[in-house]
Amino acid sequence: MNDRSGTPATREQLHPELERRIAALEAGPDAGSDFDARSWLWLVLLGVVGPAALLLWGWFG
Amino acid sequence: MGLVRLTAGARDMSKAREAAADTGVWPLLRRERTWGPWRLGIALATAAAATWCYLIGEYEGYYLNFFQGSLALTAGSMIGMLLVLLAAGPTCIRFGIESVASTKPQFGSRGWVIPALMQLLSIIGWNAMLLIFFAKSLTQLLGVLGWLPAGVGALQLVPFTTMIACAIVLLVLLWGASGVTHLSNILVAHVFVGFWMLYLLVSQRWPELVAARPALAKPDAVWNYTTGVEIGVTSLLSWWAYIGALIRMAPDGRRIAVPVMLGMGLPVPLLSLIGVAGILVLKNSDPSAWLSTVGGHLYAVVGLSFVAAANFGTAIAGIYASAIGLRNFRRLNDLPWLVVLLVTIMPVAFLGAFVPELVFNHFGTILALIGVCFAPLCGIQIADYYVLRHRRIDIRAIYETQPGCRYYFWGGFNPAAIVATVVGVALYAYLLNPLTYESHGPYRFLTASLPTTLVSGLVHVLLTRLLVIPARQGDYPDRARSQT
Repeated sequence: MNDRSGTPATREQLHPELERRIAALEAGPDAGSDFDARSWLWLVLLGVVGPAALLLWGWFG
Repeated sequence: MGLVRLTAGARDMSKAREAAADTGVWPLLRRERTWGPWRLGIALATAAAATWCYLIGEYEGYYLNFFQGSLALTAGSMIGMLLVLLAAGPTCIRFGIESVASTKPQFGSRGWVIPALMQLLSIIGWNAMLLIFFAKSLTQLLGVLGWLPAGVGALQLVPFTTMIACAIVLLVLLWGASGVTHLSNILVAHVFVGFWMLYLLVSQRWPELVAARPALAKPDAVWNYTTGVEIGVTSLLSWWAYIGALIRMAPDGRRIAVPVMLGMGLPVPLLSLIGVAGILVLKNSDPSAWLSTVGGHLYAVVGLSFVAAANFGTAIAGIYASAIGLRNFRRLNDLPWLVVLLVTIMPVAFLGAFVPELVFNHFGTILALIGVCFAPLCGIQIADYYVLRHRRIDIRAIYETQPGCRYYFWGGFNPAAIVATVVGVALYAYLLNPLTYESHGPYRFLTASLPTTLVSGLVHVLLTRLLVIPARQGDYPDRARSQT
């Protein structure tokens, strides 16, 4: 059952190897990072601005 | 001496554990994720470049001329790729998990079976078609070489070649992710052979290509153009099923945006131009059927060899992604990798061997059904990650299964995500009937995939705020509490 903060009262027993991996990820350095500002710039460029430009070119060109 | 042995033993055990990690569904640690941007880009490009590109191009060429078709398809594909990357990408790359596991925060500790089934059906459908295409190309290659016995055609060879192809895929995947990357390094050449085939057709038939008119174009130019974009978006949405298993091999989200967008997103529309040009000029999108006409005997042999081989790259990536996804089922996670691979490959082998024409003749339907399924899924994941959870995912909760765990919701299922999926599927089917391609409402201006993605995300946000968060389910940050 969850307590008021949504955290389980007791921690579920996981497979030892899975537990080792999760503990390593929770510790921080073993986890990957999310997109940074540069990645977002590329995503917007290649996924929004570029397609919009292509669509306008295809329609009006 | 004893200490050295103990250290060596521990090192061997650690290596074996890390080698097995890429055939399992548990999160990969940073040191196990060894694919740099180039390696990732090559693996993704090899997975993307297959003969489905010619079929995608064929459908594009039914509605648009070469100029408009090229641009609409490329634009749609890049938009579709962005949606897929934003949906599954962040969770997969942060924790080294695959696509299906990334849906547990939205669908629940049991509800993830819904996206798992979507993934399985999509990969089975696509790969059965690829292997049938492989069989047909091989038959044509044998015919060109004069090695085909009299009276033997594609129909007789398809079951046999499908079985052989499945056996090769199985053998390669026994190496796990390294099998994918080793083969990718060789098969990526197909991408360049594809561009060479496009150059051949465009350079030799340019005047005809420019003058060609699409066969099924409607009088409504806006509808045709929108359909061209929709084909691109839908085609790339199917990469949701593949992307997690591949990008989790890279260590860092900061280095995947360009390889994914250019390696996975761009080869599909570019190689699909072969299909667009083929259907417009030669009334046949399959280059293995027209290469000898355009380039002669030698070109036909080179082209057909690569066309046949290319499908392996995609099939291998697809079967790998699907097998990893199936590992989410606890019973399958306990089984040896070989058994999981067999479970994944058998439906593909069955379809390819026994009902190949049924699969091959319903490509358009498969494409639309993929859009129906994956557009809502992407909308829900994007809204959940960025709007509701503010990028906060608990990796431990993803692997918790007992009643009361953080992603348990009600009975292991999140009604908000399920209702949002149903609404999305219904909306897509209303906007664009996947079976008849009959459209309604604002489809001609908006496509079907994009509004479906948006509306599914909105419904998920609304229901979560009205129902799930007040009931303190799903481990969502409480806005009221966080503001105080």
